[in-house]
Amino acid sequence: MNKLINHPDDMVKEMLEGYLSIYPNQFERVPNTIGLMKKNKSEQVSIVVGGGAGNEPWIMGYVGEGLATGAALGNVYTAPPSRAILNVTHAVTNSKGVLYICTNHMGDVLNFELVRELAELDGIESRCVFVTDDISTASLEQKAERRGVAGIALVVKVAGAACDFGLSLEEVVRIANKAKENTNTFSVTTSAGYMPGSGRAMFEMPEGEIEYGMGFNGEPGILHTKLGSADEIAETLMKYLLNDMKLTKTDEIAVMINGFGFTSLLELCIIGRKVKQIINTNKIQTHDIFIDQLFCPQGTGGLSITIMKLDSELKKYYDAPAYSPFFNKIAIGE
Amino acid sequence: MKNSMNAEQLKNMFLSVAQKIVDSEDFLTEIDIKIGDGDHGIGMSVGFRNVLKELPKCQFTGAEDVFKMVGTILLDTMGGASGVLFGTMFISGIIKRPVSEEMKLSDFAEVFRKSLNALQQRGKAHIGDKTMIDAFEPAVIGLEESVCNGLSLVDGLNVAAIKAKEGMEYTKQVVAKFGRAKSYGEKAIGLQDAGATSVWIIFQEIADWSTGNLS
Repeated sequence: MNKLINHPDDMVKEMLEGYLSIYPNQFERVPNTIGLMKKNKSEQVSIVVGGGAGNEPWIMGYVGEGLATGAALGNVYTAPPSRAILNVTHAVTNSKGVLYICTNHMGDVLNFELVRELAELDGIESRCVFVTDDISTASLEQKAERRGVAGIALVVKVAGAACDFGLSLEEVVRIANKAKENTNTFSVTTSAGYMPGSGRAMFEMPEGEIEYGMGFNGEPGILHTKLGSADEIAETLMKYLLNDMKLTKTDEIAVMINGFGFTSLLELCIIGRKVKQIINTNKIQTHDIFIDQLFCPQGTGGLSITIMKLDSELKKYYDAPAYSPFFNKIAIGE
Repeated sequence: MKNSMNAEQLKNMFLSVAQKIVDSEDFLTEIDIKIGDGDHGIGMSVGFRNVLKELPKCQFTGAEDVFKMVGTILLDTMGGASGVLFGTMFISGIIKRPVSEEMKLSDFAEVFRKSLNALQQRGKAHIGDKTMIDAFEPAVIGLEESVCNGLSLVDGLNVAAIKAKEGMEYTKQVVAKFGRAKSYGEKAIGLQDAGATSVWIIFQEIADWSTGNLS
C-alpha cells in the first residue's frame, strides 16, 4: 500500500500539527506534548481522552464542542506515555475534576490508572472510564474484560454533554458508566489494514474471505466465513448484537454504522438499508440511526455496528449537539 | 574483586543495558510480531535510546537516583503497557529507600523484589501467564538465593541472568492471559513472550557488564 508520510517517526506529530494549523480557532497544542485541547475553556468537569493513534478520527477528532476537552496521542496503536496524559490534565480546566475515557486495552488502562494516581498527588480529582463495547472479546458475564472499539464515540458524546450541563464529576462518571454499560459493538473485517509507517499489511486476509469480531490490530475474531452479500453480512452482525443485548419491543436504541475507512459509503448505505429493515422487523424503537466513519483502523475494509440502549436520562445527553471538524452531530429533537 | 557498585558504575552498567536493548530492536520485533502487536521492540528501543541520550548528562551521588532516572525516562517516553511496566521495574524498587553510595548483592535483591511486587500489583500477572513476570520473578529469586548462599555480586548477578533465561524459555510452554497474545490461545504454544525476552536481555547485560568490569 502506498502511504503518504514524510518519516515514520514524525507521523503522529505532523498529523497533529496539520490538524491544528488548519483549525487554529478551535484548538491549541498542549505544551511539550503530542496532545491538543479546546481553546474555549469553561468552568466544568473536563474530559481527557487518549490512546494510540491510527484509528482517526478517534482521539484527535473527539476533542470538540459537546465532546472531550483534551486528548493525548500515542504512536500508532501504542498508548500515550502517562506523562503526556498528565500534561493534558494540567493544561485543561481541572478545578471541577477530570474524567478520563479510553478504550479497554492494557496499555491504555495501565497508563490512565497511573495518571489518575499522579493527578491525585497533584490535587486534581479524577476518575477513569474504560469502554468495553466489543461483544466478541468476552462473554456478557465478563463485560468488564471486553475490549473497547467504536462505541467510545457515543460514550464520549454522552459524557461530553453531561459536562456541558454542568454536572458534578461523580454525576458525569455515573452517566458515562451507564452509557458504557448500554453500548455494544460488533464488527466485520473484509480486508486487512496496513501499518502507516511501512505500508505493510497488518495481517493476512485471503481474497473472498471475511472475519467477524477481528481486532483492529488483526487479533483473531470469532467467526471466519466466505464473503457473502451485504444483506447476509448485515444479518450476521445484527443477529449477534441483538442476541447479546437481548433487546425487546419496549427498548429504544441509537445505532451507529461505522465504516473502517476502506469500505465506501455506497457499501455502508446498502448495509444500513438491511440494518434498518431488521430493526423494524423486530419492532425495536429507533431513536437515532446514522452512518459515519468515526473509528477507522488504517485502511481496513469492513465496518462495525454500535447500538446504545437509551433511557430518558441517556437520551437527554445523547440528543445534545457535538462538533469537531471530524465528528459532527446536530442536536436531535427541539 | 569489588563486591559492590557505586552510582557511576550503575550508570555505566545501565548505559550498557540500554545499548543492548537498542541493538535488540529487530530481534524483539521478530518475536513480538508472531504473537503480539509487533511494537514491543520499537517501544523498548525508543525508551532506551532516550536513556542513552539523557543518562550521560546526569550526575548521581546515590545509587537509587540512577534507578529512578532510568525508570522515569522509560515512563515518560515509551508509552504503551511496556512504558508503565518497565518504568515500574526500575522506579518502584527504590521508593522510600534511604540513598546509598554503594549497592551490594543484597541491595539488588531487595530493590528488584520490591519492584516485582509493584509490577504484579499493577499488571496483575502471575507466573505462567506468559508475561515479563515469568523471567523477572525467577531472576529475583535467583538474587535472593545467591545472597543466602553467600555468593559474590558478580556471581549472584550471573545466577539472576541464568534464571531469567530459563523463565523466558518457559514462556514458550504456556498460553497467554494478557494482551493481544491472549486471543491466540493454544496457538501461542512454542512462541516466547517478548516482554520476558526483554527482561532476560536486561539481566544478561547486567551480568555481562559486571563480569567484565568488576571481576
